[in-house]
Amino acid sequence: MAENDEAQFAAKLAQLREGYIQRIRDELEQMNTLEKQARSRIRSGAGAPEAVLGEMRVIAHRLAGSAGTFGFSAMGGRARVLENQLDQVLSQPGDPGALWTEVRKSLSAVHEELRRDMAGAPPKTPLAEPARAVDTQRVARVAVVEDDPHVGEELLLTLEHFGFDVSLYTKPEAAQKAILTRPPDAIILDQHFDNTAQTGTGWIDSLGESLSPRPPLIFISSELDFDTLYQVAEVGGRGYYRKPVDIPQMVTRLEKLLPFRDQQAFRVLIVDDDQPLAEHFQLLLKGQGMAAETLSDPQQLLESLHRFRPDLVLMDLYMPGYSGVTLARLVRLQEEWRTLPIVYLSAETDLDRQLEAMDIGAEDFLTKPISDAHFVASVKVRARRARELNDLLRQDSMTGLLKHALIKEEMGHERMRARREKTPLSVVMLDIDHFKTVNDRYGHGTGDLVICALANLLRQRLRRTDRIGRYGGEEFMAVMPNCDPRQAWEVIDQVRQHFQAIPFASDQGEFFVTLSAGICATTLVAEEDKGDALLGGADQALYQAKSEGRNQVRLAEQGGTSPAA
Amino acid sequence: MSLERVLYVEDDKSIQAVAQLALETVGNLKLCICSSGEEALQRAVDFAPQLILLDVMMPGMDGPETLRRMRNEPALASIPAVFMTARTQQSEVQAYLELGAVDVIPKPFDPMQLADRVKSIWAVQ
Repeated sequence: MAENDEAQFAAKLAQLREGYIQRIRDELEQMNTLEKQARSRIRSGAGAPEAVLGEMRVIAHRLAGSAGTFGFSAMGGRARVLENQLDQVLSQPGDPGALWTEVRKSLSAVHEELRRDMAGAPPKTPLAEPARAVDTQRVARVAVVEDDPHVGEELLLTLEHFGFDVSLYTKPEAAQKAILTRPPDAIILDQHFDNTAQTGTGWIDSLGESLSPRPPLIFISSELDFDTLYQVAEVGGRGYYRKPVDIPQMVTRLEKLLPFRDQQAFRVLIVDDDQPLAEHFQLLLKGQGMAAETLSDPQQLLESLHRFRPDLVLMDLYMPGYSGVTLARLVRLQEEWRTLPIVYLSAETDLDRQLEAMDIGAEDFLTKPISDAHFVASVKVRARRARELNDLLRQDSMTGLLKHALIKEEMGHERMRARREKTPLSVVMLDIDHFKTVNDRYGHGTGDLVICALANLLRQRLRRTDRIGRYGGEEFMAVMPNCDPRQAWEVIDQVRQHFQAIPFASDQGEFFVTLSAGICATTLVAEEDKGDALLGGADQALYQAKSEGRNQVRLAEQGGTSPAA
Repeated sequence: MSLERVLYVEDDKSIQAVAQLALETVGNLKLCICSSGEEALQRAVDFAPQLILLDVMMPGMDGPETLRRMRNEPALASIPAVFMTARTQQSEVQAYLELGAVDVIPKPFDPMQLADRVKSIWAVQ
């Protein structure tokens, strides 16, 4: 969404919220009346009136399902508890007894939460801080603040080749206005401005709270001394590069710093027999944009794992008839889930017992009761770590792209999907030209940088739905769903053009590298052919590109005719 | 082919308004909004949606019943349907899936993420 759309969206949402508040006030009023009616019937010995209870339940259900959307998550959570209690009352005919006291408590808790929300702070999520919608095609915006126009231009051009949206500012004052109006995703800034006594760190510091949260900062400088490094660390700098800047290396760092690069929601499974509590936890996590599921019956655990595929499991230590420790062990018996992190939720404060439980292989403990903020933060940290570990297993460590076996697997999946949806699928093989010479002449460290640069370029230039893998040493593979060979050729040829323009630094001066690529698509092979035909076709086309002089992209031939570009 | 046309069935006007904002403004989707299962059955064939979003609990014809009837209508039988519900216990979700829904979106939903969620559900169909 563009910025003013976003503002408009927020304004409309706020308006809807006003209407909603009026509505819940009316509904809660009605709920009070219904509760009084029900209570007097119960007192008179006539039993709980089903129709009245049913009405109450409908209101509670509606609140539970809607309040969170308008930013009243806590109230929604209370309403859900109330709904469950009313369910229970409805399922047992006769005098609900003490259960009715619980219902009344919950009802007043709903009122209380609404009062709290209205009296104090603006709603937490999602209205005050709209969680940014995940934009899968989003181009990262980078601001460069550099007073030397030559250095600035070079940064601008090269970063643009990598596909970033770059704004260059040669004066800190100009940068300040632009950056505060529309904060970029990252800032690269010079530490020493030549014509003033001002430093990059000093300037960032002077912005203070007006730039909050601070985007990732990368500093560049001709100096490399301890004091400067200390200042950079002090303002929270995330990178520091000495001039002349090795831009491909900096891009590798930049990629890791961009927050929206890993936007798949964390998935958390909560196994707890205390359903209201589990649902409260679930709401909290969902409020943070995570996907959370609750499970109260451990018998369903394996099925749940297979269907939901969580990044992390939160497991109650004691459940009726089951021990969390044994369940963790059971999970670990499955090869597939051997590395799945499990965190115990428990009231267990005995350190020895905790250690004993952790011996089984669960990661660690969260001790109940736990504050909402603490809970959310703890889960987030653990889920992120789990995701990173899993990525390590799936991804090539140097480039962060999928490993050989996994990219082939992805091709298989996409091939099946393309067939089902009757959409075209293109497969690309890319190879860096004369890579051995790069390694021999400039050393393996520099060779690695060239590989990372191409990986970053592909990540930036291809669509999010495309799959990219490192096929071998300097060989890459891309799987492009819903993309015919002509479109694929356009995209990959763009990559080729940008790649040849990226300057690489070495002790023997700057040098440039090119690539060749071959493309095959489902429209170019027979329907019944397997994925191997696609791969073979792409390989053939790559071979042709190489043998015809390199630095080019070729399409596979279709049944002997040559539609090659 | 990307997702463009969504039939959305929800009786709660507040939720309807937020979802409309989320799906139209954020998601750029074309919506046909119905306030009851009956209305949905009347309008669905003409609108020819690519995806159907159904609230579960509605007065009159509820979501599951609406879906069951849609499945008997040849023009609608194979359109993927998604339930939106505040009741997301596993047994319930399982029951919805057995009715032929392809996924369940839990309520409350985050308006900023609803369109993405819907699109990603559609993408894997």
